[in-house]
Amino acid sequence: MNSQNESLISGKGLWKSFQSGDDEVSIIKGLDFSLAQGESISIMGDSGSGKSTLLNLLSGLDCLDKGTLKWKERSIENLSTSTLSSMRRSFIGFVFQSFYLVPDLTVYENLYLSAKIGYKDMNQDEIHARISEYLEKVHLKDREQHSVVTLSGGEKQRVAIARALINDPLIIFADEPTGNLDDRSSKEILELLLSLVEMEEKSLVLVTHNPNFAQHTDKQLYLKNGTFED
Amino acid sequence: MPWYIYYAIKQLFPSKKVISYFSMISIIGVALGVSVLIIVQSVMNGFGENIRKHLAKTNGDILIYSSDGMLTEWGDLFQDLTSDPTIKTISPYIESILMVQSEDGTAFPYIRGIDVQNTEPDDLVIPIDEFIVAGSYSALNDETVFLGVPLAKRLNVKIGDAVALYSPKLLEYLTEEEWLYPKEFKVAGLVQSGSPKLDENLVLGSLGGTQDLLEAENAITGFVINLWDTDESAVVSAKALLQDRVIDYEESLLVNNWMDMNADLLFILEQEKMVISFIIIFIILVASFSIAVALTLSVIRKTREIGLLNALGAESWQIALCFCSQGLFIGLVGSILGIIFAYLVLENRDALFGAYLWIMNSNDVQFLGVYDLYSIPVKYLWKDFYQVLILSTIISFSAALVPALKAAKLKPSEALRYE
Repeated sequence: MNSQNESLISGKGLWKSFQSGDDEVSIIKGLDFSLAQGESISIMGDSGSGKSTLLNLLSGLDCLDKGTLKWKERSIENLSTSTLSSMRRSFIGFVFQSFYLVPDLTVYENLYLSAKIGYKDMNQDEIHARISEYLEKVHLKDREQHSVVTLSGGEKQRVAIARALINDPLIIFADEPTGNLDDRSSKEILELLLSLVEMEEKSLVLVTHNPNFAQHTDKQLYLKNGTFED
Repeated sequence: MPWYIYYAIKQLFPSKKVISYFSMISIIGVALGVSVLIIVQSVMNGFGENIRKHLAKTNGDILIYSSDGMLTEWGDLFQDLTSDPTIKTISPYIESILMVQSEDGTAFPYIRGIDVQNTEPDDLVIPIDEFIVAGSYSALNDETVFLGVPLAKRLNVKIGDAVALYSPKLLEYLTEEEWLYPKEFKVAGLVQSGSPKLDENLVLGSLGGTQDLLEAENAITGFVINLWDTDESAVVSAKALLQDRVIDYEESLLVNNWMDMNADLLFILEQEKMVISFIIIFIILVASFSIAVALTLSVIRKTREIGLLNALGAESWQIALCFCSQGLFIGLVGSILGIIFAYLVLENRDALFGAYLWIMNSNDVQFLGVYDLYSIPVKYLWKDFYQVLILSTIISFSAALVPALKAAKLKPSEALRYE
């Protein structure tokens, strides 16, 4: 992937603690982080090392205790939840380990819901065309009217990838996207994710346990005790 | 359609299902509460109207009478009122308590003397011919009386039997140890107005015969009047106008309408309806509680989904609106279905009531015939329908507010971690 100079995310001295009984446990301890346009970064680390917490901080799903975080040079710490949600719509797409698809909806409807949240002004035909395009890209066109509960793990994650991309975000945050899949499906999903991210010139933050998968990204970071290890 | 309405609809009616279980239970809860409220209100309205109509029928619309007891100079006033275009019929009457004696019993009812000589049955202020269960209107003259059915039973008399009537004056003479014979009247008919209290104490005579019995010469107690416009507000305003007019003739004259004469009963009916409606509101509250429980469970069940919606860029107010609109929808649909169900029950009330009596193995329906009630009366008021619809929808919407706000306040990172 080609790294560009423009910084999409830049964080300095990021700090996050949680209360555990009477004790305060620091998960992220003064991290610096930077992601450029078109860049892909993988974050590895042991379970409980704070990978998901860091992802939540970078995506604005959780707030910092200390430090500064900027999205495209705009500081997000003091933004209202409403502004943050609005920025997140066009800025970030998520792929989660547990897919988080809406079980009451079909494949098509899951994408439709995401598109409706992301595109306020897009008409039905445009939304339909966009959904069809992404279902083709993730090879699920023939299953668009199927309930997501009937899909296999690999198929569910393909729906989640399509959902992450459908609103044309600048960055994809993938939190262990292959964590619930077998080896073959994991490989297929990772290849699909990387190819789509490259094709659509998105930036990628990939959280993974697998060093082989991490090798496919521009930069690899290892999180240990709340800081990055070289 | 905004996404939050789309999502709310999908929560209520998931793809591949007709309706979600939670929605169905909540809608049924609201519908049952609303239907009970409508059924009770409509039946109460029916009972109320039946009784009001009956009271107006047995009392006449307006009564003019002297507070001094008897009215001796009444000819001019009668002529004046007869020419009033708002008055449909007017009839002089004389009324007094008296003692009735038969071979088997004694009673102290009221006698009412009505002007039968000058009045055709169709022109009667009080439709006595409708109330006659034995005998005929033409048989009522100065030598005969009609008795209320319960009174006749108490005295054990039938048509053709004689009864002795003692006027208050005659009873006064008797206490002074003067011996006077009572006046004998032949029972020519039996009447049943439908008001138990009235029928137990009713002796009906001709105006002349009663005046003679009471030694009242030409005096009367007052006039019974029926108006062309029998609307309650028209009766109230007519009473006020008549009050101003009759005062010129005789200061002791009082004017009452049928509502004044039965104010206690009407007050109780109004209070009863209000109290029953108030009690039934709690049924709606219980139904609303089921909405709140269903939506709270839904929020708990869908915590991760709410976190996901946040991650996708949904705003807190949109998430709150999504759950509120579900409550609104449940309330609205539940209320409409409740109204339809109530209407179907009320329209088939006789069959349902018959089935109920059959199940209970009871044919003894005490209220039939009383106050003209021969079936469960019903009166639909649009006011009740839209008030119940608005009230239950507002309560349902409010019930959804708490879980909706709970959903809106969820932190996305915590919601996504929720197990």
